[in-house]
Amino acid sequence: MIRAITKILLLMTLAASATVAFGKKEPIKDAYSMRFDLDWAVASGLPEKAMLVSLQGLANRDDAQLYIIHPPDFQWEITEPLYDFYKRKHGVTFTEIKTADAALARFKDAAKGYVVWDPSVGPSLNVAFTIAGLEDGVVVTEALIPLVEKHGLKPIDDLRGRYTGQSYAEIYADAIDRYWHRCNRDKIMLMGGHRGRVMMPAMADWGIRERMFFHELSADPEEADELALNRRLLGDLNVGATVFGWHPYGVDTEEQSTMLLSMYGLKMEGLHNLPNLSYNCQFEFTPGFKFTNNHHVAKDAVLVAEEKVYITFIQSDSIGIGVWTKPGRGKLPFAWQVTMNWTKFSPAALEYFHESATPNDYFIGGLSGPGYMYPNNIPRDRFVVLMEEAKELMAVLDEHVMEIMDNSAADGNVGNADLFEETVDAYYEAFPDVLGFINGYGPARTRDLRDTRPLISYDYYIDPKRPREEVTADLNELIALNSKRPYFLAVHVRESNDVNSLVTVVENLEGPVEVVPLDKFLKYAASNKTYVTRFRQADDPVHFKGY
Amino acid sequence: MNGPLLKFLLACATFPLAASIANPEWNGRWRFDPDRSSALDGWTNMDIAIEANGSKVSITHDMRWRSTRVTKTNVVNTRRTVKIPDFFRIEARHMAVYAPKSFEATVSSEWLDAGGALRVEAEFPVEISQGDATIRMYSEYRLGEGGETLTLIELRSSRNNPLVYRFKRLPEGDTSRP
Repeated sequence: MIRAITKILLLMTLAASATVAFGKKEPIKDAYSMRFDLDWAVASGLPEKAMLVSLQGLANRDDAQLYIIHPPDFQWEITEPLYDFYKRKHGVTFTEIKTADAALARFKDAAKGYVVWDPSVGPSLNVAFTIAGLEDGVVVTEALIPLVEKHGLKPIDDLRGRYTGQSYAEIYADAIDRYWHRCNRDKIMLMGGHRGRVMMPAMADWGIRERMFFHELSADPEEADELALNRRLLGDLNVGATVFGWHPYGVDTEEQSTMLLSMYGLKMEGLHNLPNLSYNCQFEFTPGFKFTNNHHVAKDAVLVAEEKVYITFIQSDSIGIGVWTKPGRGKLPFAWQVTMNWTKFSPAALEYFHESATPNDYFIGGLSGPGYMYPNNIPRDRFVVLMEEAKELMAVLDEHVMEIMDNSAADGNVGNADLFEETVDAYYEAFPDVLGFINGYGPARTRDLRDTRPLISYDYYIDPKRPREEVTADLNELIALNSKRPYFLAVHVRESNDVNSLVTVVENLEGPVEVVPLDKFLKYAASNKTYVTRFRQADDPVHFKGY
Repeated sequence: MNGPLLKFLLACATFPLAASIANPEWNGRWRFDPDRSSALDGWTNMDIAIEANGSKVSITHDMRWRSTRVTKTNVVNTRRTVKIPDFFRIEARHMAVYAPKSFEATVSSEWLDAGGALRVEAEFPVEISQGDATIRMYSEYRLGEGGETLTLIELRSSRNNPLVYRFKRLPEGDTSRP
C-alpha cells in the first residue's frame, strides 16, 4: 500500500515537473504596447527602433510584457488586428507606452546594460544584437547613450571603430570567433532584408530572446568568403534547426539563400521584419479551440468534372502579409498557405486567421514542408523526418493539401520551378492522405496523378502590377490554348493583389468557367486527367546552377 | 527578248521594287516605351535592333528581367517563307506557355506601305499543361513619320486582344542596354 502511494506520488511529481518543463505558463494579463511609425531609415528612425526591439526581446524573455503595433501599411498588416485579438480572446489589458524614455523606465530591469553599434558600419548592428541576446543588453547608437545611462544602464560593449573598414566576411568571422559558441544552435537569425539607408530588423526581439547569432552573410557563390562562413554556421546548427529572418536584398537571392539552407535540411521562417514573436510565442490557443478548416468536400468524396474550365486561386506568401486584411476577401474561393510553424511561434495569429475566415477561405499546408524550403535540395534522410513534422502540423491545422515550391533554378517569379521525379515520388510516399499537391510560385509544369491525388502546378501567376485587362486576356488565352475540357487552371495570387479586382477579372473570362475552392478543384482534377504528366528534366533551362 | 532580261522583268513583276527594298530608316536600335505600350509580363524592359540587308531583315530582341538579360535574333526574309529555329517572341512569362526544347517557326514577311511597315507572320508550337498547341502570330512593325518611333502591333491566334509595343529610336553610337 505504501509502495503504491509512493508510486502515485512519484508519478504526480513527474507529471507536474513535465508541465513546467514543456508547457507554456499562463501569459500575464497586464501588458504594455507601443506604436511604431514607418521610419526605419538608419539616419532617423532605426536607432531608436533597434533599441526598442532589443528591449522588447529582453522584456519578453520570461513574460509576455511588450507588444508593438505597426501601421496598417507595414508589410505585416496584422499587428493591430492581433492586438485586438489578445485583448478580446486572452483578456490582456495593454497600457500604451508613448516614448522610448518611458519604455526604458518600465523595462530597464530586464537589461543589464547596453551595446553601442556604429551606424556607418551596418553589420555592427547585427553583432550588437548577438551580444545583446547573450549579455542581456539593449543596442544603442552613440546618440542614445545618454538616454540609456539616464536609466542606469552600464556599457557592455562598444563596437565603434572595431569593424571600420572591414569586409562583411571579416566582421562576421570575428563575431563567429567571439560569440558563436555561446549562441542557440536550434535557431539562427539571418537578419538581412533591407540594407543600406533603410534597415528593418523588426524580428530582432525574437533573436535576442532566444540568444541567436545574427548575421547577413551571402549565399551567393560569387561571395565565396561570406558563403564559406554562412555554410559553417548552417553546418554547426542542430538537426531540425530553423533559420529565422530573410536573405540580404541586393546581395544574394532568395533562391540562393533558400536552396543553401535546404541542402542542410533546415527550415526557413521569414521575414526579417516579422514583429512580436517574443510576445506571440508565449501564448497557446485559447481553451477549447480546435482548427476546423472550411472543407467543401469530404476526403473520400468522388467528384466528376464536367466539360468546363475549373479555376482555383491560391495565395502562398504567408497569410500574415497582404491580401487577408484587404477588402474583398470572401468574395471568391481562395486557398491560403498557412505558415504551419506558427503553431509553435505564433498560435494566436493562426487562431485569429481562423476565426476571421469566411466560408470561401480554405487553408493549406506549406511551403514544401514544416517551413519554407526547396525540396529538390533536401537530403533524403532529412526529407522523411521533415515531412513527418509537416504532417503533424497539417493534422493540427486540419489541412488536406500540401503546397510545394522549389525556386532553386528559377529567376524570381519566372523560370524553372519544377520538381524532379524523385522529389514527386517522395511527396506521394510521405503524404498518402492528402487530397493532392500544388506546386510552383511562378508558373511551372510539374504535373502528375497517382491514385486520387493530383499534383498540379500553377498555370498562371498574377503579378500585382499587371493591368487587370491584361490579366483577363492572359487567362482567356490560357483557356483558348488548353482547349480540352475539363481544363484545370491553378492561379497563384501574389500577396499584394486586390481581391475585388479579381472579381472583375473573373466576370470577364470567356468560356464555361467555374471558380472552385482548391479541395473541389483537386477532386475534379483527379476525375479526368486532361493535363500531361511532366517532371523537371535534366536539360530544362535553369537560372541558378546551384552549388 | 533575251533570257536574263525576261527573268529580270518577271522578277520585277513578282516582287515590286518599292516593296522589296527596305527604307534605310528601319536600321537601328529602338528602346521600349512602357508608358505608351501594352504591359510586359516577366520582362522589365527591352530594346529591338533592326537591320535590313536585301530581303533579309534581322530583328534582335535585347530583353531584361531584373539582372537577367536575354538576346535573341530572328532573321526573316521578305521574299520567301523561312523556317526559324528557336524563334523568339515576347512571351508573357507568368503564363505556363513554354517554347519546346527544339522547334522551328514557319515565318513569312513582307514590306508594306511602300516600305513603311513590315509584316511578319509566324506559326510555331508551344508546350502547355495539356500537351502541345500551335500559335499563329501576326506582327506588324510600323515606322513613325520622321523615323524616330517604331510601333509593333502583335495579334495572336490564341488571344483576342492585340498587344501594342511602342519604341523610340536610340541615337547612333548609343551603346546602353535596356
